[in-house]
Amino acid sequence: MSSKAEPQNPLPWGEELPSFLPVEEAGVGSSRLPPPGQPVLRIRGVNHYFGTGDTRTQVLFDNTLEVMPGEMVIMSGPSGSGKTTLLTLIGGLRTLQEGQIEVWDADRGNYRTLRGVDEAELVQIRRLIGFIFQRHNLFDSLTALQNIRMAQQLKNSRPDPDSDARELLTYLLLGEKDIQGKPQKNRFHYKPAQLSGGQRQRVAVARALVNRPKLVLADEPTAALDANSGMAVVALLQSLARQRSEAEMRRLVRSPEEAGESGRLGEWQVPLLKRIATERGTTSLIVTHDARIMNLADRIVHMERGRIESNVVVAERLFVREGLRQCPAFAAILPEEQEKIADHILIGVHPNEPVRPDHLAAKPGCVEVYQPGEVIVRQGEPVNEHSKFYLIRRGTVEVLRETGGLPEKLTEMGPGRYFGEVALLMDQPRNATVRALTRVEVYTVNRVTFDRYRSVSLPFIERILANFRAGSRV
Amino acid sequence: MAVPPVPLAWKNLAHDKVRFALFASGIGFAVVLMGVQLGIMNAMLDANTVLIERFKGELVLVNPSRASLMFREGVSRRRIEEAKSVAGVVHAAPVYLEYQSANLRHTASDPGERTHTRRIRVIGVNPDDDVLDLPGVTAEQWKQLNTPGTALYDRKSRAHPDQTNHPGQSVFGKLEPDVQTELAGRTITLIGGFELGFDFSNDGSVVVSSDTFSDWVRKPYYPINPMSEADLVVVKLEPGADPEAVKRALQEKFGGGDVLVLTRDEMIAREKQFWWTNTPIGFAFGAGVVLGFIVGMVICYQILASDVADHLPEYATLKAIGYTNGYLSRVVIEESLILAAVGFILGMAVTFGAYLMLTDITGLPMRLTPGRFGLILGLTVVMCVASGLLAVGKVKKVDPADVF
Repeated sequence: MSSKAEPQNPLPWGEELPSFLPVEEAGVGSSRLPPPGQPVLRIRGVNHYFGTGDTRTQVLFDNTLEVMPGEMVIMSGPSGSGKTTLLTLIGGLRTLQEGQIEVWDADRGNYRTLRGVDEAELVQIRRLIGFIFQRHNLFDSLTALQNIRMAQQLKNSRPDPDSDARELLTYLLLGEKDIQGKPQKNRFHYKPAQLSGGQRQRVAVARALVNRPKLVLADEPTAALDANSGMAVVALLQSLARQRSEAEMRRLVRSPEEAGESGRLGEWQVPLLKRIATERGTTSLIVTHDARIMNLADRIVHMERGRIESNVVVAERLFVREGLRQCPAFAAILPEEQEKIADHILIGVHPNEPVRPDHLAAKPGCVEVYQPGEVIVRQGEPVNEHSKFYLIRRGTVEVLRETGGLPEKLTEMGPGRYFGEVALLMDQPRNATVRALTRVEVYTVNRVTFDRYRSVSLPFIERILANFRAGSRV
Repeated sequence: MAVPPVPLAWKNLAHDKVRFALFASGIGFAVVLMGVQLGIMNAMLDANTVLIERFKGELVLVNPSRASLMFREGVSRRRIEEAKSVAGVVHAAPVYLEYQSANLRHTASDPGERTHTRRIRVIGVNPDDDVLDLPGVTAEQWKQLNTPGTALYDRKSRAHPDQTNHPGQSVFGKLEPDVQTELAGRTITLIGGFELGFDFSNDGSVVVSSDTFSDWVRKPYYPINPMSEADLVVVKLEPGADPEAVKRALQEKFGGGDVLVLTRDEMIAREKQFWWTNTPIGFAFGAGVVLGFIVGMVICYQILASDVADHLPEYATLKAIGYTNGYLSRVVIEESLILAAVGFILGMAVTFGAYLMLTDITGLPMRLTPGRFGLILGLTVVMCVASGLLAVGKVKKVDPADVF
C-alpha cells in the first residue's frame, strides 16, 4: 500500500476548483451550459463520403468524440486526414451522411442534432457557432466595425453592440492603444484594403467571437498573426472558456524578452479582457500547427486517414502519468514505457469529471467504479498475474488492516493516490483491505500489462546496470 | 440596443465608385435604348392624333367605316343638326379634312428655287365655331380666316432637308404671314401660323375656313353639293354634362350604322390603333424596346453575377455564420433595385435630352407623359429584378463549406 505524501497536483489550474468549471456556471438546469458531465458537442460514429457512384470515396471513418464545455481542443493530423471535413460537419456546413452530431444550444437549453435536418435548422445551428477561418473573408466594401456588425445582426444580444465591437477590436490591438498603451489611430472605420493581413484576421476573429458563442470552430486562427496578437486571441478564447486566476493573467503581462515567440498581453488589456470575456464555458475546436496554442490545449485530438486515432485529455494524461511516476513499482520501467502504460488506460474524460457507463464501455478494463462501502481489495486475498494496481481517479477510500481479528484504519486516500502495487511485482496476498468511502473511480493496471512494458525496459536497465558495475570495477 | 443595419447591397455596389459608375452607365444605356425607342414609337403614333387632341369638344362623331383620319368616309351634315338637339350638347361643329388632293406650291420668292409642289393636309373649319385649339393664332386671325383665300399655316411642318442653306424653312419653303402661294392650284394668302406637326400621311397642315375649303379643295372634285358630308363632327358639351351619358344618348339617337360616337380619348386610341395594327411601327419600335430590355437584362445580369462571383468567399462566410439564402437573395435583389434606380435616373436624364433633341430635329412630338415615365421605370425595375432573380441562383449555390 502507498503511504507516500499527497502527490503534487498535476492539474494546470490548481486543486481549488472542485469541478472542471465553476459550479455556478455548470449547474443542473442551467440554460447556458449542458448538465454536469454532459458534453457541449457529441459526435458518434460519423462517416463521410465524397463523390457518388464509382467515384464515391470514404473520407471519415466511424469517428466518435465528446467535447466538454470550456475545453480548448486542438485537432492535429496530416493534411488530408479529415480534420477540416469533420470541422465542416460539426459546423453544419455540410450535410451529415452517417452517424450523429449534437451541439448544445445554450439559448434553448438542449441539444440540436445535425442528422437529417433541413437547411433552416442547419442555419440555426450555424448561429450557435463562432467560425474563424484561415482566410479572413471580410467584405472589402465594409469597415471593420461594419464587418463585425454583420455577425451582430444575427443575434443582437448585447446591451450596447457598438461599444462591444469597439472594445473587442481595441483588445485585439486595433483600437486607440498599442500593446504598450501608447496612443495609436484606431482602425474601426478602416476597410480591409487599408488593413494588414494580421489586422484583417483580427477583425475576422472579432466577428467570430462578438456574439460570445458557446462553440468556436477555428482553422489556423493565429497563422497570420504576430506573437502578441496571437496571444491576445488565445487569451480571449481561454477566458471565454473559464475564469483565469489573477496570477495566471499576470503571467501573460511580461516583457518582450520574456514573451519571446509566445507573445504577451499589455497591462491595459487585462482589465479589458475581463470585461469582454464575461461569458464562460466557450469550447474551441482549433485546427492548428501553432505550438503556442498546442501547449494550451485541454484536449488533443489526432486524426489519421479519416479516423480519430487519439483523443487525449491533457489533464487526464498528466494526472495518470504523474500517478504512475509516483509509484516505486514503476521505477523499473523506462519513462517512455511508463507513458505508454498511462496512455493505454486513458479514457478521454477529465479527472474532475465523473465517468459515465458509456465511457467505461468504450474502453473496458481501464477504469473501475465502486460505490460507497464496496471493497476494492480485501486483505489476504491471493494475488496472481490478473491482480491489479489501482490509481484513484475520483473519490476517497479507506485503508484497513486486520490485526488480532480487529480491523484498524490505517489511512484515507483520495485522487492521485495509488494502492495494490505489490501485486505487480510479487505473488504475496493483499496486506490490507481498501474500501470505498464515497463513489470511487480508479484506473487499473494488471500485471500482464505491467510485465509487457517492463520486459521492454529490462534489457536497457540491465545494460545500464552492467555498465555501472563494469565502471565500478575500474 | 439594436445593431445598426449594414446596407450591404449599397456598400458592395458603391465601394468602387468607378465600377459603380460603369454599372450605372450600363443600365442607363439600356434605359436610354428603351426610352428613345418607346419615345419614337409613341411620337409616331402621337403625331397622327395631334389634330384630334386639339379639338375643342368632348365627343367626336365619325363614320364607322372611316378607320383613320386619312380616309374619306364622312358624316352626313344632317347628323350635326340632330346632335345639337340632344340634351347636354352645346354645339356640334363640322371639321373637314383633305389629305390627298391638295398641294401647296413652294413658297420661295425666287421661282428658280421653288421645288415641286407638295401634298399638304387641309383642315376646314368654321372660324366662328371655335372648334380647334391652336395656340398662337389670335382672334383677329381667326376672324381674318373668314376671308376666302386665306389660310393659317403649320410652323412645325416637316423641315427642309437642307437646313444649312435653308435655315428654318419647311419642305414647303418659307412659311410666314402675308406670303402668297397656291393651294390646289389657286392663290392663297397665309395669315398666321400655328404648331401642329407632321405625321406619316402629311408633311404639314393648313387651316382654312369651310368656305375656302369648299371652293379650293372640294368643288373641283365634287362640284355638286361639295360640303354635304363633314369628315368629323366635334361635339361640345354643357359644363358638368356626363360625356358617357351624352355619348349614349347620341348613339341612341343615331342608331347603328352611319355614325360612331366616341369620346376624344377613344377617338385618339382608335386612330393610334389603326396605325399600330396597319403599319410596322409597333413591331419596329416595339422590337427596339424589347432589344433594350434584353440588353439591359444581360448587362444587369453580368453586373450582378460578377458581383456574386467576386464576393463568393464573403457570401460563403455569411452563410457559414448563419445567414440564410433568403438574406443573400435579398442582397442581390436590393443590388438590382439600386442599379435600376441609379440607371433609371441616369438613363432618363439622357432620354429626356434625347427627346428634346429629336423633337427639335424631327418635329415629332416626343412626349414623356407620366404613364410613359412609369412604363420605362417599370420596365427598368422588371429588367433588373429579373436579372437579379437569375443571379440569385448563383448565390444560392454558394457552398459554406468552401470557406475552410
